[in-house]
Amino acid sequence: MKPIFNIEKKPSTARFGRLAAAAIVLTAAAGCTGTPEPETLTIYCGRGESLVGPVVEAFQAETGIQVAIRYGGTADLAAQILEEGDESPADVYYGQDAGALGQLAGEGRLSPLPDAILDRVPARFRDPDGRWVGTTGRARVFVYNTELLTPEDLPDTIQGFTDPRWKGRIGWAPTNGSFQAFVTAVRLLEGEEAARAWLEGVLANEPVAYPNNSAIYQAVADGEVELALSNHYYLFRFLVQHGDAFAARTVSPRGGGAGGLINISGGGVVNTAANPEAAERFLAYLLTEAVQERFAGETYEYPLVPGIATDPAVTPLSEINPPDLELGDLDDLRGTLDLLREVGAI
Amino acid sequence: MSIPARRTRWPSRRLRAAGIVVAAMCLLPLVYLAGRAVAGGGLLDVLLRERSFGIAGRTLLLTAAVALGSAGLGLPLAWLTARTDLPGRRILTGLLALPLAVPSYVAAFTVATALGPRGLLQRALEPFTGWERLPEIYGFPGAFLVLVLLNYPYVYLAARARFAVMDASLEDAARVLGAGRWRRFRRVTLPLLSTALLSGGLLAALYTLSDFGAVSLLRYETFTWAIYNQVRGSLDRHTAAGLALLLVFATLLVLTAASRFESASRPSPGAVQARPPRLHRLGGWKWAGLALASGVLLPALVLPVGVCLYWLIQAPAGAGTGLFAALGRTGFVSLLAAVATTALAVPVAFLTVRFPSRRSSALRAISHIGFGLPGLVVGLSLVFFAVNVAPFLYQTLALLVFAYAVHMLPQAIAPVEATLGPLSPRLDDAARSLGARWLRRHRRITLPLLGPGLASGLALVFLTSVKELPATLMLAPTGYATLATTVWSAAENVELGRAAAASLVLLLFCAATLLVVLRPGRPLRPAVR
Amino acid sequence: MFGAGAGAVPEAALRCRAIEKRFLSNGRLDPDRPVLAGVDLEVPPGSLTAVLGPSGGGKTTLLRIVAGLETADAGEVRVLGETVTGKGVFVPPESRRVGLVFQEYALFPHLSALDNVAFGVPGPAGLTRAWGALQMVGLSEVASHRPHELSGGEQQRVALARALAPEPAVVLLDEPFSNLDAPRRAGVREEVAQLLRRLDATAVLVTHDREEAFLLADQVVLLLDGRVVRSGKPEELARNPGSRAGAEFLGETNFLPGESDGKTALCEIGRVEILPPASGGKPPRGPVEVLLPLDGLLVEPFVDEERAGSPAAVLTRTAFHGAFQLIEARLPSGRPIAARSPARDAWQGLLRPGQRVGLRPAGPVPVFPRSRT
Repeated sequence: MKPIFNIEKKPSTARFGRLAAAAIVLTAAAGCTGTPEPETLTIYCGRGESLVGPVVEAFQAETGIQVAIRYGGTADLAAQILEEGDESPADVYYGQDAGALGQLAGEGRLSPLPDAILDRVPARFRDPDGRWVGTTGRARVFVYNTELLTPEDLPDTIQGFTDPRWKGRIGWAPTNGSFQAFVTAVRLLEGEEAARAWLEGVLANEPVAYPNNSAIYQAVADGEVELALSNHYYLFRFLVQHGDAFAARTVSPRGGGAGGLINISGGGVVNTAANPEAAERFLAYLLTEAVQERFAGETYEYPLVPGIATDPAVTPLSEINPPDLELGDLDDLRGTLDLLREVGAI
Repeated sequence: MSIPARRTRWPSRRLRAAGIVVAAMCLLPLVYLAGRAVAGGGLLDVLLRERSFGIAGRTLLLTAAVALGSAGLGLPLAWLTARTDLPGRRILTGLLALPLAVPSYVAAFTVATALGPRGLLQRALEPFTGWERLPEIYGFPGAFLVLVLLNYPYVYLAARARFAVMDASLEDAARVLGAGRWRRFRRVTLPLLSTALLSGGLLAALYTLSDFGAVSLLRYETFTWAIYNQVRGSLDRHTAAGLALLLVFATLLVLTAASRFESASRPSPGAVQARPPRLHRLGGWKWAGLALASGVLLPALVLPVGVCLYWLIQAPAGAGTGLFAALGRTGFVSLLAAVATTALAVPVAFLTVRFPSRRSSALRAISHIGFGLPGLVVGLSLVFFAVNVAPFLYQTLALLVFAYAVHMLPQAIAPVEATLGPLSPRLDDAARSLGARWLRRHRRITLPLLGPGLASGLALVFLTSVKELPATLMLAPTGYATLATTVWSAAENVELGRAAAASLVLLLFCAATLLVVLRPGRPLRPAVR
Repeated sequence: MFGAGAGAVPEAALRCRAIEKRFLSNGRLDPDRPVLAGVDLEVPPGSLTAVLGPSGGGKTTLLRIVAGLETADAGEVRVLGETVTGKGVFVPPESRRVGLVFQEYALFPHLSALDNVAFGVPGPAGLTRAWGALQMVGLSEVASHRPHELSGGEQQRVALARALAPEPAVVLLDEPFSNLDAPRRAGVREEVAQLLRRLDATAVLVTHDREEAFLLADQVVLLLDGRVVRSGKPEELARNPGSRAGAEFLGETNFLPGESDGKTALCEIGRVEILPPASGGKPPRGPVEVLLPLDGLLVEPFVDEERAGSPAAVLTRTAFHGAFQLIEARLPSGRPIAARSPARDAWQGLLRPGQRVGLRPAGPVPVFPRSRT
């Protein structure tokens, strides 16, 4: 018997049904294949992919070790490792803030490293207990507009920023992680009250707050502000793009102190690593001359292995007068955030 | 015709089971938070701190203000595009929904750049006015502005859908009964729109509770920012969990407030279109309408796109690297998330609309909690559960889709509820009497009739999945770079050109999706009767 | 206010003159298909006028123009002598004293029955009046119910109470009974008609239902294709629909071709007397269409076959309809013809198909010129 009514199928319904089915099947399939194989080295990386990616590729090619790399925020990845507990798939934690490394080490989540790795860098760029090692250095600097100021006009130390003559002429990035690590250093070096007084003094000068360091450089070069606090290596990225006409330059504070803080990027082996040997090999690889030179040339950071030349454009490490500070102690970011909030900087 | 016939009946076993599964899913973050906060003493810690009260006050203030502001902006825009002869309204209809796809960190950054005390606007004005500083945008004004600009589309879309099915003869009736323009609006149109305003306002409120980008860049300390600071500042997940529990409490407060209003203005079935509405002639007012639309689109859409284009032109080298693959991954995982989330929303909507009871309103509340939580918290809680309960799922797409579903469920529930409301349950009975079994009834009757609600649910979840960042970074399979993570990592690495290119691709992608959903001449209208 | 010479003649509650309306089709005015083409309408105070016509005939548009919900392209609407549309005047609907009961009732779904009725009479005094209006329609017990909790008939009465509460000069009812099921419809419309009369309200009812119009209205206006083809008392319309098209719409008639001499017409059932045209003037001559209403034909059950001038028809079917009997027969030419006769006629049970019956009109009948095709 023929059907009486030939009802057309509603395509949307059928499509929805098929989509739902496909979604379930694919999701289930994905669930079965996602876990990396055991011999794979898993890196939790808080540094940029375009920088680390090529290095990791070279590492894979040279050693034959398969690498799975997860990018994320330096602090977020550290928190994730803590949350993962003993089941963490991470072998290596590689981030760009000594504070986060110090915190992970403090929670007992980093294994001691062999001396062969630790000894590659000067003692002040590694954990005294040998649980993490610095790979590159990043200096705090004063950024100034070259058309409005000369290096002689600049303050010797960060205290100069509280001078009323800078009112309305300075910039900073109070929500930025590097700035906050620097404030932590001020607190450690000068004490809470001095740090508070300094912040309040700067605030009285009505600094322009920028969301990040690139915005600071751009603003200084545009003359929006004349003087600002930032990290050293951004300058060179702008110079590559804009040439020498870019109207901002940096100096390391002549008077030293917290203003010349040198923070590090660095890594450690997670205590639950399934693959500790490969993890150590990776850290060692980051400290080879080739990679150190690569970092120096590409990021304009300071190579930490002695004997590797800093990019000629960058103020040599030897000319900087950094504070005497254990980098791993920069882990009290919470106190810094509380302070910044109390004074109204953030 | 009245339809309380079903109210006394029990939901089928299948439906109840689905409800229980959804509730269990959505409770996972809560269980995690309770465990963390109580075990680590985080809750006590937070409750004892005086500052928590300030944070709570600011959070609720911003949430209420953004909900009201979104309603205040979304409603006139919906009216302008749905009920007037505004020039270019076809294209504006799509464009005005698009700010939903702009990540809040991008919008906040560009707004701060443009409207900051010494931003682009100040520099443009200074030669004429001599103003050296504009009023401070940081703090409440900036956060409010950005969040309203990003969230009004929730209200706008809901109100448009309601306008599309609103019986124009009701307004005619009010006119004939002597009601002037204002009284007609206040006594007839507004009450009829109230459900749409509420459901849209609720989504805007919950988004505000969970937002980090805008409040951090514009410096207004809410719970979410405090939570991020705890986690990022000191890896202190216990205090963060304590704060997040307070946030859950705030979510429940918002939901309770919304349901109070809602029960007072429950939509009645059958109030659907009998006579298609005529478009109001704006006349000279069209310029005011266009000014409003462009006043919204300029900061919410044109500015971010303009800034992205500027960066792209400044640094075009290598900007396109990997974008195609990222686009494919983003589309794939967001589509999975949209389908899975909408599928989960259907039983919830059925239970709340067809079987209103204390239990179903509890289910509704539970399913809304995840949307009020920041992505970071949802991410961390699922990290914990996956690692401890289902390690084989950890860092798989399945888990990521699961996280999106927990986080975004209310966005799919709202439109499905709205379409289901006016549908007669007798249709199902009719299909049953014709011998259709469960699957066939739903495939042939329920789903097609729910079509418009499902479509807008799919679209909303899709758009928000595309821009989701913190949970994606934690839970995506290792190496699974999406557009959002590409924007983030490029920006983090000062590859502004690449960040800009990825942002533009993301926006274009979302625009294309919206155009499909809002096909011209096909408003998001529930098919009723 | 009162025009010269209006003195003794009471001003109509509602008067429409030469209303024209064209709608856009495909974005352009379609001059060939006017919705309303010169419609005149006069509604005396306290009367009920029915505008009768098929769907799409422009009835609802006329109502909406009277209410001010549409504009007219030309013509004038006066309410109680005051121009509300036309002559460069347009009084917005909210300022006209015109009530409207919508076809779908258009009750505000978010307001209770009482609040719906009170909508048009704001203020505390209004509530009292609304309550009175609800009582009047017998619905004070469901005053707090929302529309979706009311039955169709109750919704209808709430809509009527709402339209009447502000005491409009004229109340318009747009197909008010079409949403009710048949058994309830008869009762509800009787109630409504009585209510309107009790209140001495002036009402215009739009309907496509002939029976409804004839039953309820004091005056019926037949609106076809945007033109008033006939207006008058129901019985006048029933007797003479004014045109062939009007007769076709009203139905229940036979058409037979005939030849008119201006006083009588010769057709297949014999020579019949002609009714003067409704519009005045002389009856047409020459080829005509003779209209024989079902109720206007007398049936002679047993005829003498040889009687001259009245050829017999052959009975094909009889159907008993309760109060009357429908008789269908075939004329010698093969043309079918039908008649309706009261059931009380004693001979009815004796009719058998195949038998010959005589048919003749009960009185003069209308004729319309026949176009030669």
